[in-house]
Amino acid sequence: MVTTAVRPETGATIKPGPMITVPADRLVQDDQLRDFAADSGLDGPFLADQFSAFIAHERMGLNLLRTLHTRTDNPGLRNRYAELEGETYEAVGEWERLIEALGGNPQYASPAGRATEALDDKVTEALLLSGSADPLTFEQAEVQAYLAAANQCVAQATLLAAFAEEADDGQAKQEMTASTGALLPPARRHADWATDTLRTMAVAQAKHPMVRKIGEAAEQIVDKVRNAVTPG
Amino acid sequence: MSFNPLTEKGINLDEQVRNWAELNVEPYDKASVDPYTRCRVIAMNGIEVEAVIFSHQFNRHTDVPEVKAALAEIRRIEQQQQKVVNWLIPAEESTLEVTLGYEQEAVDLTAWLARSEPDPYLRQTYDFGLLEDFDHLYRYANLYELIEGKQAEDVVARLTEVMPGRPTRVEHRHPADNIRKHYDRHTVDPLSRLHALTITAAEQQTMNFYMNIGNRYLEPVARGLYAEIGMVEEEHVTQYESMLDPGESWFEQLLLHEYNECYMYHSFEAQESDPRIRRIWELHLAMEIEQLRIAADLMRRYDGRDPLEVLPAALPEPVLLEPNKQYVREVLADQVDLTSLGTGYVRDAHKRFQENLKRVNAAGNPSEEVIDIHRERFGREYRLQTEGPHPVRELREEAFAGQA
Repeated sequence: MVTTAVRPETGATIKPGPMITVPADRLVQDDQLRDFAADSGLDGPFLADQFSAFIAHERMGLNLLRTLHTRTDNPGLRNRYAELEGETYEAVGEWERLIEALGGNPQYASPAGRATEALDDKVTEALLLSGSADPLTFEQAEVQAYLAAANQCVAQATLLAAFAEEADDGQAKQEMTASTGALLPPARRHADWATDTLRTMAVAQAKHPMVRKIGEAAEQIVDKVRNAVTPG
Repeated sequence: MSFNPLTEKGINLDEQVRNWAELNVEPYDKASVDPYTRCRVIAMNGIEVEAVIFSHQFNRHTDVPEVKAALAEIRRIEQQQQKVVNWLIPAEESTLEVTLGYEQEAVDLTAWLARSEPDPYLRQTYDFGLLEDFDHLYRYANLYELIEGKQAEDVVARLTEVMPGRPTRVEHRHPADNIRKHYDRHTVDPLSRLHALTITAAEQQTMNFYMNIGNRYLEPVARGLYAEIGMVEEEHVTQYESMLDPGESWFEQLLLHEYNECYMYHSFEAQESDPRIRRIWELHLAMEIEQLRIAADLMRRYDGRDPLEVLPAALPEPVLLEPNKQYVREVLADQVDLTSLGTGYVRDAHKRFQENLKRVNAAGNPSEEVIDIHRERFGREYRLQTEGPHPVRELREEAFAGQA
């Protein structure tokens, strides 16, 4: 079973930045990461930090998809977000497998990982301004949020491919190459789906004003329901 | 026995609303109150005030109507809880007596947090603040006898000693030296997380209290003392809030606030000696359990995260208000001459520190004047040393008398 949130109970460790305090038994230093991807000829501590960020992004993607799934009013999108959640869960598992195969710890939170989480948190937080948007605009913002996340997944898998290409022949290179094969195609499909969906949504509204009117009607219905369930 | 507020049944939010008569509770009896009951009241008032202020900040960062409405509903209840708790303090208790209660609470709460803190750096941070609040208690105790002609022992009993800590005149650091490192949300022990929220709330309330009541006295030395110590409380809030991981999302913070309220009410109901006030802690715990449930639901929906990924499986060992005399003496002996430089602690009176002291202490210190005036009038200082002479030779009364 994969870890969806790194915490003490899952064995979290961290290389702290200058403003972080961490108990000694959770502390990781570069020396302990030297053997990461040891036969690759690449810098182990750097790679370990990068991969920590990559898996952090996939985990944050799960959170994003869960909130998109519960918040969308579009049944088609709801189903699609559920599917994507399942596939992202598999991607987390693939990153965990790769990190372990390279001699690392999937519970390691690097400074790069913390930075990635902060960026991803803000994407989710942006959806807290949905009160300023009509339902169609908000659905579009949800897909945009997912597109940003999916594009980052593509970038990460592409970086992984680049690391594999640059690595010396050996076990690490093989592992990274295999994981690229498992991660890059679905990441591209996800980004393509988000791009296509955005285009479909936007073009439909541009060409058919009725779509917007239906959206506005839906908004009124949503407001009525909202007022019915929200006291005061 | 372990207690998990996530699996307990609380009181439905609609049923938590109280009428004006229920909010206007009968205060405790000043003459017979257990000093630690007073401290618990002061602590829980601070916790509720923090809950309200945090919720208002959150409200300013979202326009999702459902979220704003949920926050407003919970906040209304937190406000009512704050009224019930704070209205337990009787009018017969003077502002200075309440102040002595605030500082006793600061000392024994901080000492307990330090003793139980698993992270050495955070523990050091508690120890550092402890010696300053300990000194404030001594300064206010002298003011109390000067103005009201009474002794602080009547308020704090003999549970907390009253004598100099790190002298207030050397607590005035440059603001850049009050920031601290923070815990990391992945690796932090749940206890550290709760401790940080509790101390931030407690010190923030002390800061707010002095900000508002410091001008209620006619005597210049009293007004001056509140102003000087009030500025140190600003330093303390900066220090303690810095310990919180800024990477926590709004919903994670909300969840942790509600969980900590459960933790604190659960801790205090177990040790409360006043049966009527214990019933208030029990009632508020049941209310907080439901507020936590709502916060958990909001987190699932808007953060896409399971609260079980953030919270421990059960509440940690309860917070205990009890005497910490030996602990305080040990910290005094070891750390009275510490100051800070950036996020670290040093013994070096560095340039930035010296320059700041020179600037703010240029016209003297009310915290020293109050002792001088007291000594002049009574021929001695007010101290309550139940465990023998002061552990720091230079801070013994005879050492000061020699200077005069």
